[in-house]
Amino acid sequence: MTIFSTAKQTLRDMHFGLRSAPGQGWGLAARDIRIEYIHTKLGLFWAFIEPLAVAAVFILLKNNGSLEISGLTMPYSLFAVSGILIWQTFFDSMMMSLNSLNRASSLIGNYSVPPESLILAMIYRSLFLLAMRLPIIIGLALAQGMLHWEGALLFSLLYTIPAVGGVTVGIFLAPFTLVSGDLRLAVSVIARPMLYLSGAVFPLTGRLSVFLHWNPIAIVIEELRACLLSPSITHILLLLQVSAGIVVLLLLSWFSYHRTMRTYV
Amino acid sequence: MSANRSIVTASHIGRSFPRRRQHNISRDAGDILRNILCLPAKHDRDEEEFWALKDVSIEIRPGDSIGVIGRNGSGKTTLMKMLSGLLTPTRGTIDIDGEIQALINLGAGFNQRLSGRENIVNGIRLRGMNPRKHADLIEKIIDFAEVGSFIDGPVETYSSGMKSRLGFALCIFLRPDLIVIDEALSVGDLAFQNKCKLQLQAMKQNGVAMLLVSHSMTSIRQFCDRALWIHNGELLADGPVDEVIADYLQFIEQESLKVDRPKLDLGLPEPVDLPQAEIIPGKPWSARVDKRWTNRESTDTKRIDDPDRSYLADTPGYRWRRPAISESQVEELYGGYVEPQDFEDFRAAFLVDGSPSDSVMVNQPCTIEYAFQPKRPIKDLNVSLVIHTKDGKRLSTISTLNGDLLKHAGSDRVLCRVDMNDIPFAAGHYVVTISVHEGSGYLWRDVILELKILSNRFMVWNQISMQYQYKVFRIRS
Repeated sequence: MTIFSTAKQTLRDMHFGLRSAPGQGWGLAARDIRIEYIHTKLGLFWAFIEPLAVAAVFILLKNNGSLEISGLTMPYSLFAVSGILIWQTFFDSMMMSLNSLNRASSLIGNYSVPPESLILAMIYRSLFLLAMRLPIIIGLALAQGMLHWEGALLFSLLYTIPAVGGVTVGIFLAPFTLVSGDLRLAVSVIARPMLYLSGAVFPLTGRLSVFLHWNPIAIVIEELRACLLSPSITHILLLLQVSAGIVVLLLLSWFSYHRTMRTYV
Repeated sequence: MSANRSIVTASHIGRSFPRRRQHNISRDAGDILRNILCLPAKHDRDEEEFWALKDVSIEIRPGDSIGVIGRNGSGKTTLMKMLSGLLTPTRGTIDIDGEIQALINLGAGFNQRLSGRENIVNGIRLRGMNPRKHADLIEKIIDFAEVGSFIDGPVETYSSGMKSRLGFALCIFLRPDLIVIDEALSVGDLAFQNKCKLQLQAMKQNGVAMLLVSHSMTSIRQFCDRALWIHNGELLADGPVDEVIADYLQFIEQESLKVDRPKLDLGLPEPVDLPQAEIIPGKPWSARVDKRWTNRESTDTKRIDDPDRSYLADTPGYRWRRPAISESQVEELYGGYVEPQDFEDFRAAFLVDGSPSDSVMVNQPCTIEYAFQPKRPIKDLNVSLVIHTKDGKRLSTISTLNGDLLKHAGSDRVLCRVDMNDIPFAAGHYVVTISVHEGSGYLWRDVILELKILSNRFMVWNQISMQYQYKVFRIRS
């Protein structure tokens, strides 16, 4: 088979896989979420507790006067909570997708599940994370009198960019986690400190402001925060570039994930 | 689905695995990148690859029942996984057009923390079906799996048998076009196995294609019309089941003869060299039989006039009575009891010298006859008679599977006569059980005759009394 006929066959299989993916993906996502909270008394409430705890810590620090950073367009607690939760959604989605081939090996080995169902399941799960965190950010903005309703709507819509972006980066790298476990650990170790270079916790000023142009997640966080205050996007071109980049990367990642899953897992 | 349409068409498929997997590093990034970019695998890597399957082509159509045989490690499971869509071929192509259910590692896909019911719901969803629309199917699966009240408990609390039963039930109730069974017929106890086999037989009759991997040639013959023989990853034969099995068994026998058996040191004395006798020219050594002896009684037995006639057919007034052995004893001692279904008017007779009897002498000729009327056409009928000692030791099986004598009996009345030249067992109490099969599922399994074997004038030291003729030579020069 030539390269082109192999690629064509893969594209046909991807199209075929999409037919059953919505139902199967939903089933897989629902199952995984259920498993995560199955042995807990509070169940899904735990999904709220994590972002709630982050918010509580920053409210406490703000009320205590420990954290006062000048030059912000919004209270620091809202600044930090929104930034951290957006970044955390990206990070969690990425790590979940990065580990997906290893975690689903039993499923892949026993059920004829197309890769498309697994990808869709990860997108559903990252949207679930988003749904758990969104009310905390909106609630905090409302409590601090900063909420603009149209802006909140736009924020909710654009919040899908870090969620889907995290899945995209994760499935792009996932095939290479089959070489060894090093990649998973390396991504985790490198990505965690990147929190502080993405403008999530502290504003990127001075020399660090260069990240606002080159770090896609920093761009997304900045633009999303701006939406909370007014229903407009300050750097629409930049955000469109990031979104287009995510779409292109998602298509490439989907292709590579599809080719890898049944061959190596 | 049209019978001419293929469910699976595999063309020149091969599958390799890296030998490096043994060292925890399965592939290098280059391999994966080449695969993603649709580039062919590097040929110089071939020596690092283990080819589990090489250049196999198969076509499976609706209604096919195919057995896959071969020694351990020959590539059968790899083939099954590839045909089920669980593994992609390294070389070649597979086109799948239809729903395939794979019974491989039963229950392995279950999540241990979820309940049996939740796993069923997930399983149904994973096959693209809506569980809400198939509530009746869920109940059928639960009933079939016989896990009772455990169904709402986490699967981690199930026994391995319960998990397998649930896995089996889930697979067979999802109406596939092709069912792939990899050594999964020995799930649960005999009664459950029988239920599964009958269910599979019904599916087969409804046109579901089957692919069965088994080391049991009996199962393969009962289920399949066609067989594939895989050896060292290559398809050595694809043809009628009887021919392929015969070739395979012959091969196994030849292979076993090649094995060098170590010499055992039993501490026996070395043979003594006798002094060589002088050979006188013109007077060669000669030998003549001095004594002959046989353990066979010289009987001028009264045989029925025509050995092709049947006692049961000629004696409509004869009444068969089931031996007074409880069903639980049959279950415990004679391999299991299965209630009769789908036939009636069963009769059996044990005949010595042409007349019903409950006793026979060691090595004396005897006959077993049986008859029954199927209530519906039975496809792939076969009947096995098994002779056991009273305490449950299985001694011999006589089956219609050899020669497929009843395969096409349909709904005709069955009347069979089994003539035995001698009954080669030591004196004692014996029972005869019957297994009536449809395919490999039981329609009935029970004790039908109880008999005594009486000593003749010869001593028998063990269980079997073979007929033999002893010759002792007197040697003179």
